Amino acid sequence: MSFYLETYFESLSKHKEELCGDKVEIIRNDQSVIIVLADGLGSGVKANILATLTAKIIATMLAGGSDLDEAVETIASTLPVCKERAIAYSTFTILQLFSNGKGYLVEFDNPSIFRLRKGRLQPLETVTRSISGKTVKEARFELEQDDLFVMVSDGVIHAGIGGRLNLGWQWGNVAQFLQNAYKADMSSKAVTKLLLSACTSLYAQRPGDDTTVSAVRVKKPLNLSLMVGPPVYKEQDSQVVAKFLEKEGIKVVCGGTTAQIVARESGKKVVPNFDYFNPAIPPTAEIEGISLVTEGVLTIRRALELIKACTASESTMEDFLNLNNKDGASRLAKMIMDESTNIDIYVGRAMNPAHQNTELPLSLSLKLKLVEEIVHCLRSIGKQVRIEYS
Amino acid sequence: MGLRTIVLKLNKPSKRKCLVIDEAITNYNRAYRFLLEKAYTELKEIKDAFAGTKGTQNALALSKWVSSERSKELNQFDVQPFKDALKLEVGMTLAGYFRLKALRPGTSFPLANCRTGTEVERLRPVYFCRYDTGRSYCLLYDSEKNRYFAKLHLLNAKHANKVVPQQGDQEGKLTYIHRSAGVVERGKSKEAYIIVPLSFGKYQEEILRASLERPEILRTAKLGRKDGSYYLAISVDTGKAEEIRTETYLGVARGLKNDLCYTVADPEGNVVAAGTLSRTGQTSKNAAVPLDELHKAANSIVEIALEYKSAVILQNLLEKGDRLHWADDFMNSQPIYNCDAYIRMARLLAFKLPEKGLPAPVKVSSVGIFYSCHVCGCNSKLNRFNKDTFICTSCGATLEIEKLGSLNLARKLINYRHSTFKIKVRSADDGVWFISRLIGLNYFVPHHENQIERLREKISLIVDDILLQSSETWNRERNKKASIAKKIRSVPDFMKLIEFV
Repeated sequence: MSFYLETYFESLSKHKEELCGDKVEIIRNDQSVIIVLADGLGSGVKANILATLTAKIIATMLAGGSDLDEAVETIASTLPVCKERAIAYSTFTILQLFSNGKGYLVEFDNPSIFRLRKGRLQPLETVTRSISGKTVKEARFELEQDDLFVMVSDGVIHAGIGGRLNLGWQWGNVAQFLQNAYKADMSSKAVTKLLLSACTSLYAQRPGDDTTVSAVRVKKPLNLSLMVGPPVYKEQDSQVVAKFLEKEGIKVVCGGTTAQIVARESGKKVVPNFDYFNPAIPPTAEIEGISLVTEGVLTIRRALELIKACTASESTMEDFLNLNNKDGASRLAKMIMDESTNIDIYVGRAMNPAHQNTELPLSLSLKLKLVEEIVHCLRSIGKQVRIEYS
Repeated sequence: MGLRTIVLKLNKPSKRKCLVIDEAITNYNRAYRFLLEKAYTELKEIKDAFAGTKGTQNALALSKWVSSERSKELNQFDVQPFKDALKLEVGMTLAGYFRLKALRPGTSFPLANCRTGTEVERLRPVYFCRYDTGRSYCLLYDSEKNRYFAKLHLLNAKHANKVVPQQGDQEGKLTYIHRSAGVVERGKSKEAYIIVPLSFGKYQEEILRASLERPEILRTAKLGRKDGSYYLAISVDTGKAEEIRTETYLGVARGLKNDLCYTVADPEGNVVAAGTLSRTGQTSKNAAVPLDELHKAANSIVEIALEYKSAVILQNLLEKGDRLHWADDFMNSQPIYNCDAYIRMARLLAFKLPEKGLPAPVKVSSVGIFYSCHVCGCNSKLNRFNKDTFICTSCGATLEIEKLGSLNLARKLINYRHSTFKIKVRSADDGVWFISRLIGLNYFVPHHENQIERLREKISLIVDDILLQSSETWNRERNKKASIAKKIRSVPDFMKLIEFV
């Protein structure tokens, strides 16, 4: 079985430092994803250089087919030596996950990785060996659907030390927190944001160390088919709807006329939905066999805002929590962001007089522009998006 | 009117005076019981005969049930000086009973405990229903020695004594604390009263000094015995303090490390100030909190509330608990203020705050205040990381548990104002049903009508009905309805408060 590997990472710099001394490098290819988290000695520029070199060298060499021993030897001979401590040093964690379900982990002096299976902690069994004088821990393992891997730098387990928590947020505490906070539909970005948010708060907004979290979520590839707008030619309706209904996975229809077409062609009824009322977002409807039926432009525009907020580098936990609202736009955004990996969009280009300016060319029409922006956002976070015009 | 009670101790009364007081208390209770027993046999008739326009009874009206014939029967107990007071007390007791019976039908009838041999300390105190120099009770002042006395009319004419003033008595020195400012003359006729010196603290002295200028502030009093001493509790009308318009909310929660923890929040819920209140010096964690410490804590809270012009919000610990205690393999931590101490402190605040012109404290449910996130509102027991630390499993926000409790309390009313209430919507073939048990809504609107407008009109009518209902007969369910109705009435567009489900 092949898996979709959703990755995300984010760092907090030590208080009053502009550069972070941790570095995460992610290299994807058709067979695997390699994630390297390196934590440079000290903080600031020096640590940043050490971490960047370590992460880059290891990730590039492993992706190029070199083995771990070569990569570690290269690091040992190339890292600049610290004048104060007379050592060249950067801890690291390497996680290589293959889409065929295999996994490989190497840890050197970093906090152990967290693996959550079905929401419960399941530590990886490692073996220890020495490479170029460095003692590293290695593990080979099998992946399962919905596995969650969380790599952290020591800034996480030191959070709150001497302040809110006397002994810091120890590894066991972080593991417990992850289990408590685990939700089956949580994305890797949500996990990362949550953990960093807790660290920021424990550090009282003044991190005492560079803090980095990187999460990988093993997902079954999930398809979502989105139909937006009626085809230009009415005679194409049945063909487009048939193709749309044929697809496996979640199905979403956006637009009143589009919903009427889908209902007509599939011989079903459109039933207005009163489950939730929000004056800012038009209500949703229901068609048997369709996961979500929404209004068109207003809903898509709001969904785009939500997706943009979540994919932005400065996104916060609140942006993710907004996806849990019950209005049509939030539900659409959540389905796209959290519940699907491969997205097929069927865009009908029939003109809607209410949303068009006759002086503008077709490509600038409002609906198409919104869809294009959504596609751009989704591709930026690694989703497979296919778009088909009719 | 700003009524408060000051308690003055009768300072070393002689044995004879003690006997007189004990006898007066016993007789008073016997007469009171006699009247209640009579009333019990005529309850139905009394309830009907003294029902007001709203179908409820008030104390003053009920006191008239003690007719002159029945009043004469009381002479067997030698309670002539207290007849008016007894009438009023019985009236108040009956009114309270009828009110409680309407709310809780299982309420039993109150009967005074004054069987032969009952200790005086367990008896009801004697009630003086007026301040008068010739009857009931009044205070006296010795300006030379700056001492205060109570003149208590406890005896009937039959038992009045001729008193020969002794040398050293305060004769000619004692003046009435009264507009007449007359001098007390003794030894001329039989005396149906006793005069006893009073002892008290600085707070009470301040009020007594004020009564010298304005004797009209002294109102009713109660005389009772506790721990072998006699006390006179006097109601004093110190006038209403200038009302302070509150601008912030002050939440005061129990603590595990500190006695109490407080947070002041502005109307948007932003924290303006926060801190803790703890006793100084050595304290035993398991020992009960002494009354003077409760007074100190309450005074500190009043000061903070005055500084920030705050409405004080307290935990309601009478119903569900707050789950603040923490037990794990290594420790079992209990709040420093147990429920009883916190409730007693709340009672102190209930009069201390109005004395300063602030509203009485609002008591709100404690459920979840130590487990709900102050940022995202997520309420889960998993959010409590350890005894002292809260880490939200939904958004990662962290806070000290004690601070969290007071912050959530401070924001309770703000959140309540912004909270929605649910209306179920059920589709039918020819229209839509709107259902809410909370406000008693069960309303059908056909498809061809404007459903939202019809709903708006219907809710307005329901709210009018709820608010018109008499508050005298409200029970808990009606209180909930009334609370929602008031909330609906207080906002410009109540449709925004509705969540359709």
